[in-house]
Amino acid sequence: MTPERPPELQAERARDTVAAEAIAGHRSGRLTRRRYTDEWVGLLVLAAIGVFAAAAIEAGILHNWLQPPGRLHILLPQTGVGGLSPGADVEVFGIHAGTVRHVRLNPDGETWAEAEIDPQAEPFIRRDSAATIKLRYAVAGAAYVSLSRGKGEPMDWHYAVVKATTDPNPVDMITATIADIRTHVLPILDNAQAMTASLKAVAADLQQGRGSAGKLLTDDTLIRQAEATVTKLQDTIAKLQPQIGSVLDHANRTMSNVQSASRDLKAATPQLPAITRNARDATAELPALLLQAQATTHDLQGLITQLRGLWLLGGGGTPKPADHRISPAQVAP
Amino acid sequence: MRRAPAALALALLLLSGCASHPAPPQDDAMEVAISAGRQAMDNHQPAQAIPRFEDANRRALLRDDAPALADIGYDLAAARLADNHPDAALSELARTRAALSLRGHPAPPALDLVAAAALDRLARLPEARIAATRAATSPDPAIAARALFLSGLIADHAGDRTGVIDASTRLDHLAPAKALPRWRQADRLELAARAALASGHPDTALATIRQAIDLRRDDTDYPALRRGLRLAAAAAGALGQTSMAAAYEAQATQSLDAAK
Repeated sequence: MTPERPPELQAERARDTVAAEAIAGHRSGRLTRRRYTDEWVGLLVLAAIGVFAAAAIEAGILHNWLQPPGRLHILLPQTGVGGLSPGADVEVFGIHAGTVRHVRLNPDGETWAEAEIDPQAEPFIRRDSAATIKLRYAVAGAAYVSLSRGKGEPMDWHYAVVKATTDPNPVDMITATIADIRTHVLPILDNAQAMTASLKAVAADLQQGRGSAGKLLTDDTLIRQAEATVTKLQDTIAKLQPQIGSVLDHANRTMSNVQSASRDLKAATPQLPAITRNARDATAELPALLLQAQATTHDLQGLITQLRGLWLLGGGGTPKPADHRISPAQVAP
Repeated sequence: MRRAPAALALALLLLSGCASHPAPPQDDAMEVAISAGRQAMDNHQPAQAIPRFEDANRRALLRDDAPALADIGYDLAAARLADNHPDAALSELARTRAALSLRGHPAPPALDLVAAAALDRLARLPEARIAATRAATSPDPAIAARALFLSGLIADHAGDRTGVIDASTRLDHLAPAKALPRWRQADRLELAARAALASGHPDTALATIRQAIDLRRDDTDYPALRRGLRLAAAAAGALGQTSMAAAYEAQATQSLDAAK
């Protein structure tokens, strides 16, 4: 049996109950929201990862990661590798395109280097690309491989090989040039020395009156003889003077004849086109004339044949058909 | 004097009345070329005859005239042979046969006559003998007679005495000797002389060939005359008359030198 309570207590108790129910309802809503927070955070992380992946694909980073670098075998010259070592740069028309990974010697005695080539640079390296080993600062610095841009067939990147040459060292070239100049100049200097000695000897001989030239300088006999010869020559020319006049007269007359002939030729020249025209016309008439002559001959032959056929002249009346064959007697063994 | 015009008019009337039948239609240019070629051959100028016959051959091809092609082919081959080009003669004959075959026209035995002579010159004697035998079947007695003469000559070159005698006998029986032109008489005499020499009668051969030589001279066939002189030398040699044989040989050589 439940003791009866007073109505004030019952009313207070009812208010408490309503308040308790209200508080419980509020608590249960807050708990529901807390329960889904982790899922929302996870979803956000996944979305961020997705966006990152999409950006990476779009930027081509994955493509680059997935595509391995090309391997290029560089056959090094037999004269030496020019200081090339692993880690050296490989450039294509001045742009960094890869790195030398190994420098090796194969059993045949050939030296070769293996370089990793940036996939972006691969289309520019072709079968006709030339590899040159250069020094970074012409005469000093690290060695690197410079590849020329190829325009021929594309390279087979399963086994890509290029042959390298060493860029000549300018210092070596200068040394060789100096040695060459020395080789050529020294004999010239020797010759000049010998010539000077000869000149000295000749000058000494001249001074002492040796030889023809020396005699000329020291002895005036030859000069006097020359003077006498010139005098005689003048006399001879004076004697020839009248004859020269006669010869000149003849030459003048001949020239006047030639001039006269030229005048005649000049006068005849205007007639040449007419003569040529006449000759051309006459020549053009020749084929027709020949044809006429042939026709006349044939007509004459026909007439003779007909005359032979006349019974008055002893013929049979009807002309024989023309015999086309030559006599069998002319078929000689 | 009044009678003269009347007589002239009467004569013209008679002449016009006696005019012969018109000649069959023909190609004037071709006829002229053939005539010029024949005249060149008659004057022993085969090199001049060849271009004329070539012109005629072109005209015959132009008018698609098979009989004319046969005749001109024969003339052209004979002219090339006379110009001492037997190979060219054989080629010409082959061309002519092909042209006739194309037109369904039979090749005349006259072509075989030229072939026999050309093959004999090239020392292809078995083929020459076959060609000469075919040519001997010609309905033209002149061609047949020349073919028989060639048969005998080819047999003589091959050392076939029976063949020479047989050809000579057949040639003698072909026609009476009196009606023949000089060249045919000379052919008969030459072949008879060869047959006599082959039969062991050099004296008969010498007498016969002398007659043939005279006929060849009259006919201005000097190559045949030289052949006769050499046969005379052989006959004189067989008789033991070496000086006479040497004289005939020298005559033949001088004639040959003069021809150059």
